[in-house]
Amino acid sequence: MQAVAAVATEHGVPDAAARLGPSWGFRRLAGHRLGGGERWLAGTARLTGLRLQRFAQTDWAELAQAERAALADSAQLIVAVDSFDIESPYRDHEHLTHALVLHRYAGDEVVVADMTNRPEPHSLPLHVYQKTRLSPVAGGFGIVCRGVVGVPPPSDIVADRLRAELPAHRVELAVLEQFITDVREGRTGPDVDIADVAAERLALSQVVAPPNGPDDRWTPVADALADLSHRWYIVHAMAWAATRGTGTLRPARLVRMLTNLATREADLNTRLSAIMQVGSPCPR
Amino acid sequence: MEDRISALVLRFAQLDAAADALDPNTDLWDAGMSSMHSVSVMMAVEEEFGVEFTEGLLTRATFTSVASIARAVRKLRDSDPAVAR
Repeated sequence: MQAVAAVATEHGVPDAAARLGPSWGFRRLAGHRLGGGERWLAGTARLTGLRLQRFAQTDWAELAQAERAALADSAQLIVAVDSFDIESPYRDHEHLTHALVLHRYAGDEVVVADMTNRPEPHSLPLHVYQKTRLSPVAGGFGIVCRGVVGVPPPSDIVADRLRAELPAHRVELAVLEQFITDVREGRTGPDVDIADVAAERLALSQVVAPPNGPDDRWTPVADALADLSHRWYIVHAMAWAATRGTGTLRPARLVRMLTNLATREADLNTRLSAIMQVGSPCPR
Repeated sequence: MEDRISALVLRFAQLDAAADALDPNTDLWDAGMSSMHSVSVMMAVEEEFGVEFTEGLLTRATFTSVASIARAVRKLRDSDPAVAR
């Protein structure tokens, strides 16, 4: 999401980080990962005026050809890689999906930018790029970004899209409950990866915060979402530390913390639903 | 207690400047501790003192300094006298 925000900023989108989404939900990913609802791309396109399109290709020749063609067509590319392969805190010891902005192919190198670890454009050997793009956690996934930025009035669109997220989130709370059950019964974890969930809530808090939020009632909601994101990050960091042997995270405690988060998620959904129904800026 | 916590902070907080000792009131966030590393500090303190930080204590303020962490540990011990001292 940071990479999308960076590309949007380059396209002239003001406050791009506050236009990611909104998306709010849960879904199960491979391994011990719990993801967010991941419906943020369509909302981001509406809020930024950019055209954003997902792609995935696991054949290297076709992937490289598609990326070169998109770059030649003046599109910008956000590409998934494996943190294990690149300059990052996880290099050589953990496989995590990460995003880079791909600037260009240059002979036996590619030029990329990493908004988290190394924001300035820098070279990556082509063989490393190929390996990391086709890694299981990256899966040849990417996002093509095109278009000229308009300046849509965000508050109505935020309200519209958030209204659509609430019932989806309510349904997907069952995914979280099942995840907690799996942790409790030893089928998942304790090396859980819930970073995507935390990131989605952080982005959502920025989307509904002023000036995007339709009115003052949303400010405490944005604060509550930021607090929720912080709490998800704490659990993620604890699991991360435990995985590396720098701390202990008993399954019972993990279950307790996740259960607490589930309660907070449900409560916030109820609160937001009430706001959307009473005096909503876009009543239906 | 502050000395033991200080040693853990120096080991896990990855502060900007290397140091052999910390003033108990040094602001750890200002000194470069990240949220991620604050969790490592928290878990190390839990191991060291046999306590478990409650939901209410998982705040930025709790981990502002060695002194504030020590206050939280004392509070946890006072609420559960059975934990190791």
